[in-house]
Amino acid sequence: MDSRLVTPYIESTVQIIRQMTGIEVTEISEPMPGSGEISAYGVTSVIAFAGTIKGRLLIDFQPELAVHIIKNLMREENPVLRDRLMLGCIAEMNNIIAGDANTLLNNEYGLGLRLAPPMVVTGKNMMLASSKVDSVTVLGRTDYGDFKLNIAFQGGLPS
Amino acid sequence: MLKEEMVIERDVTAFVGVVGDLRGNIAYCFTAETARKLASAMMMGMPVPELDEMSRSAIAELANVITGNAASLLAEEQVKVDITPPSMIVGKDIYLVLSSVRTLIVTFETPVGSIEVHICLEV
Repeated sequence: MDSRLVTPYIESTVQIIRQMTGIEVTEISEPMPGSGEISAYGVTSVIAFAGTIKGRLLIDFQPELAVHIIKNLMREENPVLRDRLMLGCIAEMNNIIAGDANTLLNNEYGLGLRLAPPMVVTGKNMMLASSKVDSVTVLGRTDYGDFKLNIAFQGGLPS
Repeated sequence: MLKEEMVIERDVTAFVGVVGDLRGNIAYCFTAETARKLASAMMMGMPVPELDEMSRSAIAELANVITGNAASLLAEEQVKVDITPPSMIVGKDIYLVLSSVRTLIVTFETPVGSIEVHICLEV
C-alpha cells in the first residue's frame, strides 16, 4: 500500500501516545500487507472515515498496556476495562490520532476525509475483519506492552 | 427502545460509520450461531461450521450493503450521507462501546435468529 497513506497514522500514533500518556513506543515494525483481518490482543479501537477515498484505523492494545494508558489518562489507580468511561478514553485517543493523520492527508492531498465516531471493544479471542479493503499491519512495543495498528483503505492516491 | 449509551455484549457485531448530514455508526449485532447461518445463506447455503475469514468478510459486507441502501433512501429525502468501510468483530465476553450518543435499537426476528440494529447517530 502507498506509504504516503500509511506513514501519517504511524507517526500520529507514536506522537499522541507520547504526548497524552507519556509512554514511549520503543519499537515499531515495518508495515506488513494484510487483508484487513486482525486477531486482537484484547482492547481494540476502530475509527472509520470517508472522503474521496475511504478507510479505517484500528489500534489494538494488550490489556496490560491499555490499563496503563487509562491510568495515565484518567489518573485512575486501578482501572476496570469493562467500563464505558475507561474504554472511552481509548476511543478518544484513537479519535485524536486519526484526526491528526487525516488533517495532514486532507491538507496534503485534498481527500476531504471525515471521521465517524470511534468504537472501542474488549473481549476474548476477538477477530476483527473488514471487506473490500487493502490494509497494512504495524506492530509496536512499549515498556508496558505491545500494540498493533491496522490501516485500511478503499481507493488510493493518484500516482 | 432508546438508550443513553451503547454497550453491546453480543458475540458478533458488524458496524458502518456514517458521515455527512448525519454522523454516527450503525451496528448490526447477533449471536455467533446467527452469524454463521447468515453467512451460509449469503454463500448459497454452503455450510459454515465456524466463522472463517470468508464468512467474516461476508458479514462485514452485509452491513455495508444494508447501510449503503439506507444511505440511498436517505438521499431521496434530501439527507446526504456517505458511509465508511465496514468493520466486524467476533469474540467472547464482548464489551463494545459505540460512542455515547443516544441510540435507537431495533430488533429483527428472522428464521436464523434475531438481529439487533443499533442506530447511533448525533442529532
